[in-house]
Amino acid sequence: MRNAYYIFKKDVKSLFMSPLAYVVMAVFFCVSSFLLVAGMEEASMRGAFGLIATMLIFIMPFLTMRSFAEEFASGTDELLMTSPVTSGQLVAGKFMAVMALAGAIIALSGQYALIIGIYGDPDWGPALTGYAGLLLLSGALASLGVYCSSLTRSQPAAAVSAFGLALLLIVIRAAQSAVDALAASFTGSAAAEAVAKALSSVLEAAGVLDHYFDFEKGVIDSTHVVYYVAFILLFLFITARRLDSKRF
Amino acid sequence: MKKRSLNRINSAVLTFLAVGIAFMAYYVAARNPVRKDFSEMGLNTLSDKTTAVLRTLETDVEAKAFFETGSIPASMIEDILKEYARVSPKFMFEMIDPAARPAEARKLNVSDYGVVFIAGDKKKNVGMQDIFKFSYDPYGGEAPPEFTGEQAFTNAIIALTSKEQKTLCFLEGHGEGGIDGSGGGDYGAVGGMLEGENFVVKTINLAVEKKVPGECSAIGALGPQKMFLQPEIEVLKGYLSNGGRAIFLLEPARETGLEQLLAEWGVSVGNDVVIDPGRFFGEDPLAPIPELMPHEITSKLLESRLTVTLQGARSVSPSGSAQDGVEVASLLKTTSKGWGETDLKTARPAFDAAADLEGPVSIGAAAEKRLVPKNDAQDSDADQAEEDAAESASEISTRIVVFGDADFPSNSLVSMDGIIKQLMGGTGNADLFMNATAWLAGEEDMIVIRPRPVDFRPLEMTAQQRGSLFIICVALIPLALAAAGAWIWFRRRSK
Repeated sequence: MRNAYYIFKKDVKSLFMSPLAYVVMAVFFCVSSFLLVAGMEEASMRGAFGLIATMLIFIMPFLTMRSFAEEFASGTDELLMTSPVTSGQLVAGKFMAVMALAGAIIALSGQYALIIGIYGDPDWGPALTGYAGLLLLSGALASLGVYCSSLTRSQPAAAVSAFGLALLLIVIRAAQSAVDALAASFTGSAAAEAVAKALSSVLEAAGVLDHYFDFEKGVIDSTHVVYYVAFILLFLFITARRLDSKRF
Repeated sequence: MKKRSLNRINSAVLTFLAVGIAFMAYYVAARNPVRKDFSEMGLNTLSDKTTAVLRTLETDVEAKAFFETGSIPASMIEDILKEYARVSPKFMFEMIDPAARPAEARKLNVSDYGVVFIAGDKKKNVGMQDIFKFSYDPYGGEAPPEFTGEQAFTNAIIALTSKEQKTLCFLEGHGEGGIDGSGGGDYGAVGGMLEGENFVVKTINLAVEKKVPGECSAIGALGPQKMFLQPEIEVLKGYLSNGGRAIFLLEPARETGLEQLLAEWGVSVGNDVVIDPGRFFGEDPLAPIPELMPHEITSKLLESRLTVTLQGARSVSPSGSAQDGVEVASLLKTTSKGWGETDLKTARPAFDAAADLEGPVSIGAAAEKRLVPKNDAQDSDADQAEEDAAESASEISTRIVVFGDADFPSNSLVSMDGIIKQLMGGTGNADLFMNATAWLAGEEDMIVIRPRPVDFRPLEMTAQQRGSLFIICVALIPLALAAAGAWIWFRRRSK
């Protein structure tokens, strides 16, 4: 764990000492506040959470793109690979560093909670579960981004592929209605209808954003928690395997 | 080279295994979900009533929701229908975009957004006007619509699956509030709720009919202002003696002629007005917020810690003068600081131990006389005997509910805007009336807490405050972040 902590410390320093992180945060809060504050009518964080979740999809690839791509491009990966740090520790350290920055962004969105707390009588239950959901969603996006970063030495390519994959995991839900329509048209064949219905369930379960919405309503569902935890661990694991394969 | 290939195979197998384990973990979690609602009012949890209805479903019910995919109403409807499906395996639903699947809409004759509930060959449409209620905003401007989908959906399921409809008859001819009226002193709001719960609601005039029609499962006198005629009293006496069911809401300072009849059933109606300096609404001790006494009618309100607000009440207490076999229980009581003021004309009411009724003062009572006593059942199986006796007692017994206030379930206190109702504190008013009616009609399953419209909590800020916050959040905070970035950039450059 100590090795993972050193990697985490090094990456956090590098992320927070980079002007890019501050520019990303400044743009993030300028845009989100512009869209939120003028139209805020209800003492609820639901609108803010929805917007922050959507914006995380766009900014997480920028936060994760450097993780490994930069090491590959600058050649420092060889140093890392030959050091006594395991691939798992390396991935965990880099993932935690990205999460520290994502956590800082999420914490700064506390300004909206402060506003609704001062000028209204909000229900704090959904506000707290919403933050839990944002952390899990950003964790899933971070693990996906770290994985994409391990595939290439080009940072833009890492960001674009991470964004593309995240987008695919969001729009996949839209395909569900097409599959439902298909299932409805299979009135003659029970087997075909069953296959289409099973596919529809898989598509429903796959949507990375669909598992988030219950959190912002104030509901914690074990299904969603397991989805995000399994998602994060899976992508961190395959990233570690990817690094292992490069060692040999 | 060989080692490298082996490692690749090893890596592929491990990755495949990891994917399999992740899918399995999700599958198991999805099959055994544990959900916890952290919202203050349990807004994401189905109400007691909906859960009770769904758990007792005997036939399959299918809901087909016609909404545009991705729209806000579609996601709200889908969320709630998912909760319904979680509670009962006999409930299924399907979201249909009518633009994508027009044939489905045509097949069910659907021409507008809404939900069609289907049970066997019966259908019921619930339209947008039932799902979203638009109301007057007391602070001006356009009030956001209330989401009343749960009430509408559950009532549709009750209507589709109920085997029989019971009739509730409300008396007229003595200045009672109308059960279908929309005035502040009328009862149209709870009347609509009764119809939603599959009761047939009608009005009867005892002076004209000369008897209580046989179809009436229970009768009600909601705030009579004038005296009942002696023949009407005789009709009521005969009706109650033969297992009749009745609810009386009696206002203070109104003599109705029912007082003697109710005394025979062990309910004493005081000629007073209740004052409770210990627990009242706003600054008016004449608007008591009574404590609920344990009874089948009040049990769910007590569990949910709902309160009831009265507006000008008289005492209604269990008395010792009841006929044999009548059990009388108090339903509502003031605190010990309350009293029943008998001097109705005084401008400065004060407790007079000699004349006034000492607190805690009862403001509502329920009387029951079982015509088939519980211990008459002679079955060998003791549990079964008790169950049968309870069932038959519910079927063949006189039940009377009397409240010393006629305002608490009136439109003025039940159908108001959610915000005012919250301020008034009378969040359980409608449930108290509905549960009393369900108890009278022998529909104990319907003694529940009903779904509530989703509340709206406004932000109260002036235009100036909003402007300042806009500048702070849109300009100052991002500028501070950008300045921090610029400072780091300069420091790194200068090194």
